[in-house]
Amino acid sequence: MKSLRNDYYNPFFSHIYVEKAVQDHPRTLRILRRFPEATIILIDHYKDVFCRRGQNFALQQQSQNLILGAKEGNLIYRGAPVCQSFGNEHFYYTSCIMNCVYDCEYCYLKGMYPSANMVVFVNLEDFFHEISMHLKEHAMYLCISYDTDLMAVEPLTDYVREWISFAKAVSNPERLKIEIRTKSADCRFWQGHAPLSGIVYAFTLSPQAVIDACEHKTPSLGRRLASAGEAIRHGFPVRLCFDPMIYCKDWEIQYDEMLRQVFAEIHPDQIQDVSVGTFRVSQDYLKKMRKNNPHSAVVQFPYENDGGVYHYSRELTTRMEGFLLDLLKKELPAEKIFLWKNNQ
Amino acid sequence: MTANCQQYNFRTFDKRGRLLLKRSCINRNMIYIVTAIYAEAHPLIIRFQLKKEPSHTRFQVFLNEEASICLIISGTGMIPVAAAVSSICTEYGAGGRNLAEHLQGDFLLNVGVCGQIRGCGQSQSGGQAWQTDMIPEKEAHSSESVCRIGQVLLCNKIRELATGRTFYPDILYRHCFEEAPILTGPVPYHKTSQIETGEEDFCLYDMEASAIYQAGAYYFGPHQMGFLKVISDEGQPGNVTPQQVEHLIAHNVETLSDYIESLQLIARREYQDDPLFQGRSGEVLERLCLDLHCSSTMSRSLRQHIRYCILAGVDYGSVLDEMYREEKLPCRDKREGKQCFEELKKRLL
Repeated sequence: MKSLRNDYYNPFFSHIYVEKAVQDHPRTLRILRRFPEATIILIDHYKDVFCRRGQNFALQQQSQNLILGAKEGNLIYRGAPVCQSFGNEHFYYTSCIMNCVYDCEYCYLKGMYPSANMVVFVNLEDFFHEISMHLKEHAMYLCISYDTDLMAVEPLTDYVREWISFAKAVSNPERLKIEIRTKSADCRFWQGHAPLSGIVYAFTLSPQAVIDACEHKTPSLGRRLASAGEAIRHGFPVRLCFDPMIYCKDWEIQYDEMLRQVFAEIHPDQIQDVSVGTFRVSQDYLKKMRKNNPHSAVVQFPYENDGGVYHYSRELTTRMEGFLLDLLKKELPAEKIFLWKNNQ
Repeated sequence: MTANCQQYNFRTFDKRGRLLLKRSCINRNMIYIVTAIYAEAHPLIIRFQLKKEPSHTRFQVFLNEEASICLIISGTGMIPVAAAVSSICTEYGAGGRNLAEHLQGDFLLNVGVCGQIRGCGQSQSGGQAWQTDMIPEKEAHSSESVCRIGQVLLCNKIRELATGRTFYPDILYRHCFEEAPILTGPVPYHKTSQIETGEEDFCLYDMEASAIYQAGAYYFGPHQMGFLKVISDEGQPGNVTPQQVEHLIAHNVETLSDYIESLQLIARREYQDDPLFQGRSGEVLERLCLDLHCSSTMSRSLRQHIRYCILAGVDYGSVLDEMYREEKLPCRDKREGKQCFEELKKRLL
């Protein structure tokens, strides 16, 4: 053999691992119907595949497989200190899907999970039940798309629709605020669903140069903005997240250009709020990320370690965030701008 | 010796100074083939022109260093095969000196015959299969297709009968085989045997796969292990002669070797040496460490800065030249080195 064609990886979801306990679950069957060509492999527990020793995250990302299972134990977690709470007291997150179809070099998932395969938990009712229990006690600000991009896989899973139905049906809807963070740009979604005031769609935006360099397989800035604009036109609450800000040589020019593009597409009054924060990640995750991605500039940046969290130097952080805040303040009132701070 | 063959300091010595690791030249991207018996190995030995390594007395080992292929014949059963895998992988430094180093281009491949429990076979990705230019595209098979004697299958799930433990090799690359789960048991499978497979569709049976996976897992990741099985019988192992086994493998040797060669091509493309600190950049870094009087912590930080600059296309060379011109470098002592390093960091970013 003398040569090899470039697409030597198996296609996306060529193999689907299914927990025996959920093989007949309606959601399992619905998802499997979308992949009639896939090889189905029955497993006892999702961790038997997801948590194997010695997996290569970067390679698996090239040939990502799907694992369908049921999540047990604790299903709702307290928001991590490195995440923005938007001033909410009871800040939680949940992961009904683990891992993402996008391939952002700086993503903490690459340091957090042992595998790049995507796990979809089909027992959504258990998640809903646990949230209902919490809601009896207190209000909740719940992020449901942190460890994945739910909107990106909506055509496969229908999970956002199910979360909307749940949020509509809770007995005390004013107590539940949900954030769905995304980099996707599927405008059809906004036509097929009705807005709900308790669910905010948070678009993560980066300069196109950063997208090209680090955010592989994601839609362009233009497409994300078009989708956010479409969401607003259909009455959906929209948040813009300039978080994480990523350093590059000409970052001032890039972020300035990005904001021009943003406000050319979206009127500031129509935005619920924005968040700003430079890249930061826990030291354990960055260690793995550096090992797995030795040639990624964003991962190999010489960050500073402060109490177990790696971030840009204090001086660079102040410059980058200050620069963006100054520009944003020209367009938005201060109460709509949330800056992530270390002491949150 | 090929370009991907590289010298490593794998020589280790015991307390008396005896050389423990015989080989100092280890190929990157080696394919380690494990077969249980000689009849399974012989067609591959011929195909890849492997030469017997006379120094090995416990197991028969055949090697073609230029082709980066090493084959070991383990003997039948789980304990012999686990010992053989461990022996060859340790001796040749397979997968790196430790898991952290992980020579990702190495691959452990089990080639052998197996019994068929029942009709099986899952076609892969709707028969898109091979994309390599030399391998014929496979026809689409239904997932219920019945396998035949002489057919090659790639195992996507391995269950050890004795313990009930199950292992899942990653199948990341396109291939031309049907896939199937396999059971590994301690004794040969007879048609009359009562085997509890549960609700699952185990259709193949062998006596080595689970042990190879478990022993191999000390050296390789799940994406670096493959299990190719040729069906030899339907539960009449006594009727299968070594000649028949050799014939079954020989009949498929071209397909098997195409697969092996495609793995090597992929490895060559995917796993190259880290070029960042080879050549001039390595020399620059070394000199800079000396000129800054770096402590080990400072050295690591400096290396990280230079690594970033190389990856991000920052012209660190000009910055250093400027500092040498300004006589800020070399520094006289550690204290001056620290100050200079702070300034260097600012200039670089």
